[in-house]
Amino acid sequence: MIKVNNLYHKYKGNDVYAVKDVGFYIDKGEIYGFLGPSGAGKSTVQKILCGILNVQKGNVKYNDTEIKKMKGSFFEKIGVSFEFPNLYEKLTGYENLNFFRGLFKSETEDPNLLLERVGLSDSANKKVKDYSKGMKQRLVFARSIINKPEILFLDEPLSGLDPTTAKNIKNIINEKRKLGTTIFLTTHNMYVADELCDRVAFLNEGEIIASDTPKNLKLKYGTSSIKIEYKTEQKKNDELLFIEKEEDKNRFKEIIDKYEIITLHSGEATLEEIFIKLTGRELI
Amino acid sequence: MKAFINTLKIDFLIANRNFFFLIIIGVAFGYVLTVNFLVPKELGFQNGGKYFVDNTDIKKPTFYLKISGYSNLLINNEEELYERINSEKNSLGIVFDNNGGELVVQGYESDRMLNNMKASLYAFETSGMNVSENIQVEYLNDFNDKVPFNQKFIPMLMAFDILLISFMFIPVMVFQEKKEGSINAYKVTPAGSIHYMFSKIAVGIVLSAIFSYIFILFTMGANADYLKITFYTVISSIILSNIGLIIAQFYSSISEFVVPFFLVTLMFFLPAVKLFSPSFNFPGIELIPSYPLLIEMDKLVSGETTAFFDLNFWILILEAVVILIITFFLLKKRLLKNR
Repeated sequence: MIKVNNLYHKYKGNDVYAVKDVGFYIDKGEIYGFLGPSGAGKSTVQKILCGILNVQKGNVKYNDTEIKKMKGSFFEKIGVSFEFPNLYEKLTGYENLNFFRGLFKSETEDPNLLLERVGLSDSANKKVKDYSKGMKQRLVFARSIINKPEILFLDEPLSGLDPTTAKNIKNIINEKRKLGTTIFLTTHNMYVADELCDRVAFLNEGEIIASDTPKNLKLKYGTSSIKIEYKTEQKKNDELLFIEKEEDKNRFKEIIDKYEIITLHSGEATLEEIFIKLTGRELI
Repeated sequence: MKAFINTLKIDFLIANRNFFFLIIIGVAFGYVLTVNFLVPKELGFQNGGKYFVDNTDIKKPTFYLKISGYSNLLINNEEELYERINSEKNSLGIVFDNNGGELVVQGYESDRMLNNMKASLYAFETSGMNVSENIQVEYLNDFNDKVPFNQKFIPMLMAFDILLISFMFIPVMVFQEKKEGSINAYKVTPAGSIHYMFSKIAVGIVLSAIFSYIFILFTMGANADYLKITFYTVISSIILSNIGLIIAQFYSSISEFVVPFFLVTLMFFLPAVKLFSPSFNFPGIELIPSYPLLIEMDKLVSGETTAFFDLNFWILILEAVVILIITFFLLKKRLLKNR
């Protein structure tokens, strides 16, 4: 469905590549997660994939057709949910959806039904400028699926949502996958990636450092970890240590000897822990 | 077409929610009140200069002016007199000779005012000179005699409001879309640059047309040449909306837009200076889009009938086509990248 090869991207006035030699494929009906901290290049890749940024080097193909050669009809097939709410603030929620609905020739969803699905039917006639951040996020998500897209790009779709709403959105995403929608999801939330994605890629400083199913990544890179909470003279601290690493082992001994231990937990590695292990960076 | 109509509907809705229509209607009626009630229909000469040339043999006018303490109003010859009243737009001159005299006026004075002037020369008649009966009137400018002074402001006010409407309101809408990010959402839809561009231009045209019709109807009445007014309003609005769209792409907020806004406004103001002071000129002034608009509106106000498809028409058409092409490609390259 989507094939990306040797993708590079550099922003104007910046010598460093924001995206370096990125390559991956996404099958039809698959949810592919891009996992990485802020500034890792996730959104840049998404912008290239959905045609907002030009391909500078490398290639992006949809069903073997270069994105450069895709015409306006390409935009009939995609839906994009941006990280930051980008809505017409002077229009109501309903007017926003209805406007975007009218830009597509293909079959579209009923705005009222979508508003109901994302829990915004009571605020349908309220101007978007009076919406909370979470409400805007839900409306942006609803807008991304108004045209029943074949390919859905979701950038941090659950950020700022309460657990109930987040669960609701996750259900919709899973429904879309079952209907055959191909989904490209970027997030820094390991739980979202673990729960929703068929496969994930870890992106760090513009490069993919690992890519597989969450299960395989855990098998391949995961080692038992210990989360230790201890008390120094002034405050409480916690650290995550991988026992197989010599330095972590020494650090564990040091903490046991020097400080008062509050809690000690061992566990299976999470995607976040694997990311930290591979990059030395946290997913913030 | 469905996408364009949809974009158009939303742009009009947003313009309405930004109170653009109310502002335009308010400004139009403000201008109507200014022209109809604040600017006088006739320019009085109470404060303007009256200058005299005495070409009579007996020099009685000179005598009367001297004993009345107005010898400073005496000019040596007709050449100097013409020069003086050309430079003072609310002045007039009187040339006395042995057969009567000549009243030299700007051209916009009403018949009533000229008759009053002639009657005031009665003093000279009683002194043995038949001035008031034999006085000729010399018009410095051809204003068709009939145009009230207040209506001479109509071309300038109209050109400026079309400038403000199209060149300011359209960028305001673009800045709003940039700020809220809705422009990025638009980029990933099948609707492209053409829809976006013509929808914004349509808003500019409708706002300008509302202003023009209200302003002209309540100042010039129902008999004005509305076909010509419509054409010049629409074409000027197209050009100015496009200039607004082009410049707005390089800035992200109205505060950043202030400097180019004033520079462009200044440039568009220059033809208005020429309208009131014909000696003001520089190469290419005719190509500034406000120039043909001002000239054509001035002709309409003064009742001058000219061909519809004259040079000004073709200049504006050419400018509109060129600027539409530039706007389209810039939109594709910058604001709506790849679309």
